[in-house]
Amino acid sequence: MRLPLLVIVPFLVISLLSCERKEKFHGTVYDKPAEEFCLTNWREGSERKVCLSDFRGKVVMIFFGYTHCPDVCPTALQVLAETLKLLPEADRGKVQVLFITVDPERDGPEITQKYAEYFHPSFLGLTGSPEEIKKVAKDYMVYYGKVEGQSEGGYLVDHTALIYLIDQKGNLKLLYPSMRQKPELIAEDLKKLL
Amino acid sequence: MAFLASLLILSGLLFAEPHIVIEEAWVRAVPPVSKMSAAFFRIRNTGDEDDYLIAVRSTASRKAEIHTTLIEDGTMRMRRLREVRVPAGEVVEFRPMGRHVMLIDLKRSLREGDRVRLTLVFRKSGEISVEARVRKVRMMH
Repeated sequence: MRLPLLVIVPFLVISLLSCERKEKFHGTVYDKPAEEFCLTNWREGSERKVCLSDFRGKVVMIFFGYTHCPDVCPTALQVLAETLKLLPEADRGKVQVLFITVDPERDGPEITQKYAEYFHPSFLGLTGSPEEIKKVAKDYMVYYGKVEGQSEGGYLVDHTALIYLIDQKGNLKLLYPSMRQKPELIAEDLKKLL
Repeated sequence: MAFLASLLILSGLLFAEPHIVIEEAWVRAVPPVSKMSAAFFRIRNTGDEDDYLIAVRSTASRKAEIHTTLIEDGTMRMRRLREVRVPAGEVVEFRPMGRHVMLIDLKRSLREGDRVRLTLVFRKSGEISVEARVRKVRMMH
């Protein structure tokens, strides 16, 4: 009888204390400075460089995917589009969604941008050289790898399917699994941060 | 007695058959630049024998394959399935983030409201055609 109490009481105290100190988020709190990157975007017929630091003062949400992906990537981008629509109109401009391809061989700047903006006109699609993509993926702990011989539609790409939230100070604040993610919950977190 | 029993078993085998119904078929609307999409549906087997989905064709794409999405430790993996068993009396769901039919090499861009004809090929029940609506909505429950 004594042992369970010894275990339970400190646990309760710790969890109460941590509740008081931290704000509650639906996403998993990571809270470390986000690594800078500069990648290629396509806009009105020409290519341009877009860097994470361009969006300082905004909340940046990133999803890594590829345009040949028929299931997870459209779902995640759809979730992010719905999240934006749940925000008050005045706040929507304070959030920037970036779609970064992990398939730079097939996803050029124009395709990547057109893919992203289909879900919401404000979304930006970014690509780069295979080396640039490799670096940003490593910095964000994104695993990706080609899978040959599964489909006649060309290779598939296994990849980390997380949604990243970078706060207005440039901290990688929250992570969300993209599977079964509810836009309402991300929107609640955004309202706390904006 | 043994003869009767075997006769019973034999007649059971003769009359047992799968009965496949396809419900709520839909295809995901995708950006016009995308050459891929996915189709989703529910397969209900109201018969008393298992059946297997072995192939799919669609009017929207040059090829269609049965795939499944697996998510392990936040990593998304897609894998092709050679067949999907639909046990007697059960329902098998094809839905986002799970089993789906990958529509490869779209013939035209898919807009919301478009109709796509899907032909599902079963080992025992043969071909079953359904009309699927193109939709943008997320379906996650």
